[in-house]
Amino acid sequence: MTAARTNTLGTLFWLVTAAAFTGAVALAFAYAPVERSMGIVQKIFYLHLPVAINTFLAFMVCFVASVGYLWQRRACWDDLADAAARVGVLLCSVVLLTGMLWGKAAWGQWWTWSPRLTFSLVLWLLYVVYLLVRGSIESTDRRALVGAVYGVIAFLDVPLVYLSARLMPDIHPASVSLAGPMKVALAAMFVPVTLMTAGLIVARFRLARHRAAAGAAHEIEAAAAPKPMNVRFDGGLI
Amino acid sequence: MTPAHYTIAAYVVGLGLMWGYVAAVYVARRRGR
Repeated sequence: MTAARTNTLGTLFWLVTAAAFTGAVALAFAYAPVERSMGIVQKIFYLHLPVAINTFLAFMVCFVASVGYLWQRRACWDDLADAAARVGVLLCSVVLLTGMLWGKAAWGQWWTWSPRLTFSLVLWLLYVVYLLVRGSIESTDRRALVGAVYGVIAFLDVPLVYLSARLMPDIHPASVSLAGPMKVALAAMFVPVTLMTAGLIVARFRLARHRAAAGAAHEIEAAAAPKPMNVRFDGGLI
Repeated sequence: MTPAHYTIAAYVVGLGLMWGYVAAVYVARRRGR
């Protein structure tokens, strides 16, 4: 596939995603009724839940790619794990921020140390540290290996976030019952959020592969270039 | 702030962060060429 064709498809993909977001937001605000007890603030739920589910999906991709790297030791698995972790951290930030805004409006406080909120914050911190650890290791192979081991271990927090509100007393609702139009609005929001997650992981993965290819080409050029005649003992040009 | 303000803020922050990251990735890609 040519680069121009890939760019056209990419632009088309994001236009479709933007249109799907517009439709989903319109359904959430204009079609779904205002919830009786919580009022308009309940509409945050239509964004909060799909982004939370997609956070789990992004971290699951990171987990699978980490296992793939440990199995095959191929750099593309490492690039995929890195891309998915970045997107997962972004989505987890959206989940925490929309949750805090909801909490302030519904409960009167920005934050409470309930099990699900605490495990969600731990999840966000785990993957922020994952990205920081990766950034601190210069060796490509070592970074990939450490990242893969970390990516497998960090994923253990995802089931804890999911199960925490179900197994322990929590202010955060474990499940909700929705009227028909509310279910439609929620289902509609899953479409653009899932497209956004997949599109971002692919775009970030392609950026990493592009940089890796550019780096390899630069190394080949440097190796093929004629060596300077006058070189000091410390390697600097005279 | 009213509940409506919190609701609008949640959508602006959420969608803004996601689309902002889309733009950042594409700007990085363009500069990388």
